[in-house]
Amino acid sequence: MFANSNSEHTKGGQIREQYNDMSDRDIDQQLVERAQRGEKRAFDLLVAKYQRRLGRLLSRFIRDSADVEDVTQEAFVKAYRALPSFRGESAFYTWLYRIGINTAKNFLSANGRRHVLNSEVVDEDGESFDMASQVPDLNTPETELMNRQIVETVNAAVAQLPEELRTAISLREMDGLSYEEIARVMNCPIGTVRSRIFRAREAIATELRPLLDTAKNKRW
Amino acid sequence: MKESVSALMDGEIDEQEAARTLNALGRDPELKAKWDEYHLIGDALRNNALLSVDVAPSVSRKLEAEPTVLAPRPRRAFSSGKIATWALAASVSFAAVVAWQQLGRDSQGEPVVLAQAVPAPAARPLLNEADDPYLMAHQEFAAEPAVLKTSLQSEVRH
Repeated sequence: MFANSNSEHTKGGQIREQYNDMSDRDIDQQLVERAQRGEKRAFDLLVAKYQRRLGRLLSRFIRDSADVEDVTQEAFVKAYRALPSFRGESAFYTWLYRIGINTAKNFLSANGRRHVLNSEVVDEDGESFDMASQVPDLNTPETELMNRQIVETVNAAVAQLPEELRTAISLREMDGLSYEEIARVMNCPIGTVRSRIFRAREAIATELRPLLDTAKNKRW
Repeated sequence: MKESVSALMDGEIDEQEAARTLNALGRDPELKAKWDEYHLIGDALRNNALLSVDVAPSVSRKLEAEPTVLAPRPRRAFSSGKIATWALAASVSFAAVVAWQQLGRDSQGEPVVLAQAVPAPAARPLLNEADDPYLMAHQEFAAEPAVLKTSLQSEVRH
Protein backbone atom coordinates (compact mmCIF):
# COMPACT_ATOMS: atom_id res chain seq x y z
CA MET A 1 0.00 0.00 0.00
CA PHE A 2 2.55 2.47 1.03
CA ALA A 3 5.64 2.90 -0.92
CA ASN A 4 7.57 4.48 1.88
CA SER A 5 10.52 5.79 0.10
CA ASN A 6 13.78 6.11 1.91
CA SER A 7 15.11 8.26 -0.84
CA GLU A 8 12.41 10.50 -2.15
CA HIS A 9 12.91 13.64 -4.12
CA THR A 10 11.06 16.42 -2.44
CA LYS A 11 9.70 19.57 -4.00
CA GLY A 12 12.80 21.39 -2.94
CA GLY A 13 14.84 19.05 -5.08
CA GLN A 14 16.79 17.58 -2.22
CA ILE A 15 16.71 13.99 -1.16
CA ARG A 16 14.76 12.86 1.87
CA GLU A 17 16.57 9.98 3.45
CA GLN A 18 16.59 8.01 6.68
CA TYR A 19 13.04 9.01 7.54
CA ASN A 20 10.30 6.55 6.74
CA ASP A 21 7.75 9.30 6.44
CA MET A 22 4.77 9.04 4.17
CA SER A 23 4.34 11.27 1.18
CA ASP A 24 1.26 13.34 0.57
CA ARG A 25 0.18 10.77 -2.01
CA ASP A 26 0.66 7.98 0.54
CA ILE A 27 -1.65 9.77 2.94
CA ASP A 28 -4.29 10.14 0.23
CA GLN A 29 -3.93 6.48 -0.70
CA GLN A 30 -4.40 5.46 2.91
CA LEU A 31 -7.52 7.60 3.14
CA VAL A 32 -8.83 6.08 -0.09
CA GLU A 33 -8.23 2.56 1.16
CA ARG A 34 -10.02 3.33 4.39
CA ALA A 35 -12.96 4.72 2.43
CA GLN A 36 -12.91 1.62 0.23
CA ARG A 37 -13.24 -0.46 3.37
CA GLY A 38 -16.35 1.44 4.33
CA GLU A 39 -14.99 4.35 6.42
CA LYS A 40 -16.99 7.25 5.09
CA ARG A 41 -15.22 9.66 7.41
CA ALA A 42 -11.96 8.96 5.62
CA PHE A 43 -13.58 10.24 2.45
CA ASP A 44 -14.76 13.33 4.36
CA LEU A 45 -11.11 14.14 5.02
CA LEU A 46 -10.35 13.95 1.31
CA VAL A 47 -13.28 16.26 0.60
CA ALA A 48 -12.02 18.75 3.18
CA LYS A 49 -8.58 18.61 1.63
CA TYR A 50 -9.47 18.99 -2.03
CA GLN A 51 -12.78 20.84 -2.19
CA ARG A 52 -11.27 24.29 -2.62
CA ARG A 53 -8.73 23.23 -5.21
CA LEU A 54 -11.35 21.35 -7.19
CA GLY A 55 -13.70 24.32 -6.77
CA ARG A 56 -11.12 26.65 -8.25
CA LEU A 57 -10.54 24.33 -11.18
CA LEU A 58 -14.25 24.17 -11.92
CA SER A 59 -14.76 27.89 -11.40
CA ARG A 60 -12.62 28.48 -14.44
CA PHE A 61 -15.42 27.42 -16.67
CA ILE A 62 -18.59 27.58 -14.62
CA ARG A 63 -19.59 31.16 -14.06
CA ASP A 64 -22.08 30.96 -11.23
CA SER A 65 -20.56 30.29 -7.80
CA ALA A 66 -23.63 28.32 -6.68
CA ASP A 67 -23.22 26.11 -9.75
CA VAL A 68 -19.56 25.65 -8.93
CA GLU A 69 -20.52 24.40 -5.47
CA ASP A 70 -23.16 22.08 -6.92
CA VAL A 71 -20.81 20.60 -9.48
CA THR A 72 -18.02 20.27 -6.93
CA GLN A 73 -20.38 18.45 -4.61
CA GLU A 74 -21.62 16.19 -7.39
CA ALA A 75 -18.06 15.40 -8.43
CA PHE A 76 -17.22 14.23 -4.93
CA VAL A 77 -20.32 12.05 -4.75
CA LYS A 78 -19.45 10.52 -8.13
CA ALA A 79 -15.91 9.96 -6.94
CA TYR A 80 -17.20 8.20 -3.84
CA ARG A 81 -19.39 5.92 -5.94
CA ALA A 82 -16.46 5.18 -8.24
CA LEU A 83 -14.05 4.46 -5.40
CA PRO A 84 -14.10 0.67 -5.93
CA SER A 85 -12.59 1.25 -9.36
CA PHE A 86 -9.78 3.44 -8.05
CA ARG A 87 -6.62 1.36 -8.00
CA GLY A 88 -4.09 4.02 -7.17
CA GLU A 89 -2.33 4.01 -10.52
CA SER A 90 -2.61 7.78 -10.56
CA ALA A 91 -2.70 10.24 -7.70
CA PHE A 92 -6.10 10.57 -6.08
CA TYR A 93 -6.41 14.24 -6.95
CA THR A 94 -5.59 13.56 -10.61
CA TRP A 95 -8.39 11.01 -10.68
CA LEU A 96 -10.69 13.37 -8.79
CA TYR A 97 -9.96 16.27 -11.13
CA ARG A 98 -10.87 14.13 -14.12
CA ILE A 99 -14.19 13.26 -12.53
CA GLY A 100 -14.69 16.95 -11.74
CA ILE A 101 -14.02 18.02 -15.29
CA ASN A 102 -16.34 15.38 -16.72
CA THR A 103 -19.01 16.41 -14.27
CA ALA A 104 -18.60 20.03 -15.32
CA LYS A 105 -18.81 19.12 -19.01
CA ASN A 106 -22.02 17.21 -18.37
CA PHE A 107 -23.36 20.15 -16.43
CA LEU A 108 -22.55 22.57 -19.22
CA SER A 109 -24.04 20.26 -21.84
CA ALA A 110 -27.20 19.76 -19.84
CA ASN A 111 -27.56 23.51 -19.56
CA GLY A 112 -27.07 24.03 -23.26
CA ARG A 113 -23.78 25.80 -22.85
CA ARG A 114 -20.80 25.16 -25.03
CA HIS A 115 -17.61 24.13 -23.33
CA VAL A 116 -15.18 26.94 -22.98
CA LEU A 117 -12.44 24.40 -22.50
CA ASN A 118 -10.12 23.64 -25.30
CA SER A 119 -6.61 24.15 -24.13
CA GLU A 120 -4.71 21.98 -21.70
CA VAL A 121 -3.76 22.36 -18.09
CA VAL A 122 -0.99 20.17 -16.82
CA ASP A 123 -0.96 19.35 -13.14
CA GLU A 124 1.96 18.57 -10.86
CA ASP A 125 2.06 14.95 -12.02
CA GLY A 126 2.22 15.92 -15.66
CA GLU A 127 -1.39 14.92 -16.15
CA SER A 128 -3.13 17.19 -18.61
CA PHE A 129 -6.67 18.35 -18.34
CA ASP A 130 -8.84 19.53 -21.16
CA MET A 131 -9.63 23.00 -20.02
CA ALA A 132 -8.75 26.57 -20.74
CA SER A 133 -5.82 27.54 -18.59
CA GLN A 134 -6.06 31.15 -19.58
CA VAL A 135 -9.70 31.55 -18.70
CA PRO A 136 -9.85 33.83 -15.67
CA ASP A 137 -11.59 32.74 -12.50
CA LEU A 138 -15.24 33.56 -12.79
CA ASN A 139 -16.00 34.30 -9.18
CA THR A 140 -19.00 36.29 -8.21
CA PRO A 141 -18.42 39.41 -6.08
CA GLU A 142 -19.50 37.51 -2.94
CA THR A 143 -17.07 34.67 -3.40
CA GLU A 144 -14.39 37.12 -4.47
CA LEU A 145 -14.94 39.08 -1.28
CA MET A 146 -14.78 36.00 0.90
CA ASN A 147 -11.64 34.78 -0.83
CA ARG A 148 -10.00 38.13 -0.32
CA GLN A 149 -11.00 38.29 3.32
CA ILE A 150 -9.61 34.85 4.04
CA VAL A 151 -6.35 35.60 2.25
CA GLU A 152 -5.97 38.95 4.00
CA THR A 153 -6.70 37.45 7.40
CA VAL A 154 -4.25 34.62 6.88
CA ASN A 155 -1.55 36.95 5.58
CA ALA A 156 -2.07 39.36 8.47
CA ALA A 157 -1.86 36.46 10.94
CA VAL A 158 1.36 35.24 9.32
CA ALA A 159 2.83 38.73 9.51
CA GLN A 160 2.20 38.81 13.26
CA LEU A 161 3.92 35.51 13.92
CA PRO A 162 7.31 35.36 15.62
CA GLU A 163 9.98 35.15 12.97
CA GLU A 164 10.87 31.49 13.52
CA LEU A 165 7.23 30.44 13.13
CA ARG A 166 6.72 32.68 10.11
CA THR A 167 9.78 31.32 8.37
CA ALA A 168 8.86 27.71 9.09
CA ILE A 169 5.26 27.97 7.85
CA SER A 170 6.29 29.99 4.79
CA LEU A 171 8.99 27.53 3.77
CA ARG A 172 6.51 24.70 4.18
CA GLU A 173 3.36 26.10 2.60
CA MET A 174 4.70 28.48 0.00
CA ASP A 175 8.01 26.92 -0.93
CA GLY A 176 6.95 23.30 -0.39
CA LEU A 177 10.07 22.33 1.54
CA SER A 178 10.14 19.17 3.59
CA TYR A 179 10.74 19.33 7.35
CA GLU A 180 14.25 18.08 6.83
CA GLU A 181 15.01 20.81 4.34
CA ILE A 182 13.49 23.46 6.61
CA ALA A 183 15.58 22.11 9.47
CA ARG A 184 18.71 22.60 7.37
CA VAL A 185 17.67 26.10 6.36
CA MET A 186 16.78 27.11 9.92
CA ASN A 187 19.60 25.14 11.49
CA CYS A 188 17.42 23.40 14.03
CA PRO A 189 16.18 19.85 14.71
CA ILE A 190 13.35 18.42 12.62
CA GLY A 191 11.21 18.08 15.75
CA THR A 192 11.52 21.83 16.27
CA VAL A 193 10.38 22.45 12.69
CA ARG A 194 7.38 20.23 13.24
CA SER A 195 6.49 22.08 16.43
CA ARG A 196 6.96 25.53 14.86
CA ILE A 197 4.75 24.71 11.88
CA PHE A 198 2.06 23.38 14.17
CA ARG A 199 2.19 26.46 16.39
CA ALA A 200 2.07 28.73 13.36
CA ARG A 201 -1.02 26.96 12.06
CA GLU A 202 -2.70 27.19 15.42
CA ALA A 203 -1.98 30.91 15.67
CA ILE A 204 -3.30 31.57 12.17
CA ALA A 205 -6.39 29.43 12.80
CA THR A 206 -7.15 31.46 15.91
CA GLU A 207 -7.22 34.64 13.84
CA LEU A 208 -9.23 33.00 11.08
CA ARG A 209 -11.90 31.37 13.21
CA PRO A 210 -14.14 34.45 13.78
CA LEU A 211 -14.29 35.03 10.04
CA LEU A 212 -15.17 31.39 9.38
CA ASP A 213 -17.82 31.37 12.08
CA THR A 214 -19.38 34.48 10.60
CA ALA A 215 -19.26 33.00 7.15
CA LYS A 216 -20.86 29.78 8.32
CA ASN A 217 -23.74 31.71 9.82
CA LYS A 218 -24.08 33.83 6.71
CA ARG A 219 -23.15 31.04 4.26
CA TRP A 220 -21.72 33.05 1.42
CA MET B 1 -2.58 14.83 18.64
CA LYS B 2 -3.21 18.20 16.96
CA GLU B 3 0.48 18.40 16.15
CA SER B 4 0.21 14.94 14.60
CA VAL B 5 -2.63 16.20 12.39
CA SER B 6 -0.40 19.07 11.29
CA ALA B 7 2.46 16.67 10.49
CA LEU B 8 0.08 14.24 8.79
CA MET B 9 -1.12 16.79 6.29
CA ASP B 10 2.52 17.55 5.47
CA GLY B 11 3.27 13.87 4.92
CA GLU B 12 5.89 14.13 7.69
CA ILE B 13 4.75 11.25 9.81
CA ASP B 14 5.52 7.56 9.99
CA GLU B 15 3.02 4.84 9.20
CA GLN B 16 2.14 3.98 12.80
CA GLU B 17 1.56 7.57 13.84
CA ALA B 18 -0.40 8.15 10.65
CA ALA B 19 -2.70 5.23 11.41
CA ARG B 20 -3.25 6.45 14.98
CA THR B 21 -3.93 9.99 13.81
CA LEU B 22 -6.33 8.89 11.08
CA ASN B 23 -8.21 6.76 13.59
CA ALA B 24 -8.46 9.75 15.92
CA LEU B 25 -9.60 12.01 13.08
CA GLY B 26 -12.43 9.62 12.40
CA ARG B 27 -13.61 9.82 16.00
CA ASP B 28 -12.91 13.35 17.13
CA PRO B 29 -14.81 16.25 15.50
CA GLU B 30 -12.44 18.77 17.06
CA LEU B 31 -9.48 17.14 15.37
CA LYS B 32 -11.40 16.97 12.12
CA ALA B 33 -11.98 20.74 12.44
CA LYS B 34 -8.21 21.18 12.76
CA TRP B 35 -7.68 19.18 9.58
CA ASP B 36 -10.15 21.50 7.80
CA GLU B 37 -8.60 24.69 9.18
CA TYR B 38 -5.02 23.72 8.43
CA HIS B 39 -5.89 22.83 4.86
CA LEU B 40 -7.75 26.10 4.41
CA ILE B 41 -4.71 27.99 5.70
CA GLY B 42 -2.45 26.12 3.29
CA ASP B 43 -4.77 26.83 0.37
CA ALA B 44 -4.91 30.51 1.31
CA LEU B 45 -1.13 30.81 1.58
CA ARG B 46 -0.57 29.05 -1.74
CA ASN B 47 -3.40 31.01 -3.34
CA ASN B 48 -4.35 28.01 -5.48
CA ALA B 49 -7.90 27.41 -4.39
CA LEU B 50 -11.38 28.83 -4.35
CA LEU B 51 -11.50 29.50 -0.64
CA SER B 52 -15.21 30.16 -0.45
CA VAL B 53 -16.08 26.60 -1.47
CA ASP B 54 -17.35 24.56 1.44
CA VAL B 55 -19.16 21.49 0.20
CA ALA B 56 -17.83 19.16 2.88
CA PRO B 57 -20.98 19.19 5.06
CA SER B 58 -23.33 18.68 2.12
CA VAL B 59 -21.18 15.91 0.63
CA SER B 60 -21.02 14.21 4.01
CA ARG B 61 -24.82 14.33 4.29
CA LYS B 62 -25.20 12.90 0.80
CA LEU B 63 -22.77 10.11 1.54
CA GLU B 64 -24.81 9.13 4.57
CA ALA B 65 -27.58 8.20 2.17
CA GLU B 66 -25.18 6.33 -0.11
CA PRO B 67 -24.59 2.61 0.28
CA THR B 68 -21.19 2.02 1.79
CA VAL B 69 -18.62 1.27 -0.86
CA LEU B 70 -16.70 -1.87 -0.19
CA ALA B 71 -13.98 -2.40 -2.72
CA PRO B 72 -12.38 -5.83 -2.85
CA ARG B 73 -9.03 -5.68 -1.16
CA PRO B 74 -6.30 -5.94 -3.73
CA ARG B 75 -4.50 -9.25 -3.63
CA ARG B 76 -0.93 -8.58 -2.89
CA ALA B 77 1.15 -10.57 -5.27
CA PHE B 78 4.70 -11.27 -4.28
CA SER B 79 6.74 -8.43 -5.50
CA SER B 80 9.90 -9.15 -7.38
CA GLY B 81 11.77 -7.81 -4.37
CA LYS B 82 10.16 -10.36 -2.08
CA ILE B 83 10.81 -13.19 -4.51
CA ALA B 84 14.42 -12.14 -4.75
CA THR B 85 14.64 -12.07 -0.96
CA TRP B 86 13.22 -15.58 -0.66
CA ALA B 87 15.49 -16.86 -3.41
CA LEU B 88 18.48 -15.34 -1.68
CA ALA B 89 17.48 -16.86 1.66
CA ALA B 90 17.04 -20.28 0.06
CA SER B 91 20.42 -20.02 -1.64
CA VAL B 92 22.14 -19.03 1.58
CA SER B 93 20.48 -21.91 3.45
CA PHE B 94 21.53 -24.41 0.80
CA ALA B 95 25.07 -23.08 0.79
CA ALA B 96 25.20 -23.33 4.58
CA VAL B 97 24.10 -26.99 4.53
CA VAL B 98 26.66 -27.87 1.88
CA ALA B 99 29.38 -26.01 3.74
CA TRP B 100 28.46 -27.72 6.99
CA GLN B 101 28.67 -31.12 5.34
CA GLN B 102 31.98 -30.22 3.79
CA LEU B 103 33.31 -29.06 7.13
CA GLY B 104 32.19 -32.29 8.78
CA ARG B 105 33.97 -34.33 6.12
CA ASP B 106 37.18 -32.35 6.43
CA SER B 107 37.29 -32.31 10.20
CA GLN B 108 36.76 -36.04 10.65
CA GLY B 109 39.02 -37.12 7.84
CA GLU B 110 36.42 -39.34 6.28
CA PRO B 111 33.22 -38.74 4.49
CA VAL B 112 30.06 -38.41 6.49
CA VAL B 113 27.70 -41.20 5.55
CA LEU B 114 24.33 -39.66 4.86
CA ALA B 115 22.75 -42.76 3.39
CA GLN B 116 23.80 -46.33 2.98
CA ALA B 117 23.10 -48.31 -0.15
CA VAL B 118 21.08 -51.41 0.55
CA PRO B 119 20.89 -54.01 -2.18
CA ALA B 120 17.42 -54.34 -3.52
CA PRO B 121 15.89 -57.78 -3.24
CA ALA B 122 15.76 -59.71 -6.49
CA ALA B 123 12.51 -59.48 -8.35
CA ARG B 124 10.39 -62.44 -7.52
CA PRO B 125 8.81 -64.20 -10.47
CA LEU B 126 5.11 -63.87 -10.25
CA LEU B 127 4.48 -66.87 -12.49
CA ASN B 128 6.09 -70.19 -12.78
CA GLU B 129 7.67 -70.70 -16.14
CA ALA B 130 5.60 -73.77 -16.61
CA ASP B 131 2.45 -71.69 -16.32
CA ASP B 132 3.17 -69.69 -19.51
CA PRO B 133 3.71 -71.77 -22.61
CA TYR B 134 4.41 -68.60 -24.67
CA LEU B 135 7.38 -67.75 -22.54
CA MET B 136 8.56 -71.29 -22.51
CA ALA B 137 8.55 -71.26 -26.30
CA HIS B 138 10.58 -68.06 -26.60
CA GLN B 139 12.83 -68.25 -23.63
CA GLU B 140 16.05 -68.40 -25.64
CA PHE B 141 15.53 -64.71 -26.67
CA ALA B 142 15.28 -63.55 -23.11
CA ALA B 143 18.43 -62.31 -21.42
CA GLU B 144 16.85 -62.02 -18.01
CA PRO B 145 13.91 -64.31 -17.86
CA ALA B 146 12.64 -63.11 -14.51
CA VAL B 147 12.53 -59.47 -15.58
CA LEU B 148 10.99 -60.30 -18.90
CA LYS B 149 8.30 -62.35 -17.32
CA THR B 150 7.45 -59.59 -14.91
CA SER B 151 7.14 -56.97 -17.61
CA LEU B 152 5.24 -59.15 -19.96
CA GLN B 153 2.78 -60.02 -17.33
CA SER B 154 1.83 -56.44 -16.86
CA GLU B 155 1.10 -55.83 -20.53
CA VAL B 156 -1.95 -56.78 -22.47
CA ARG B 157 -0.98 -59.31 -25.01
CA HIS B 158 -2.60 -59.07 -28.41
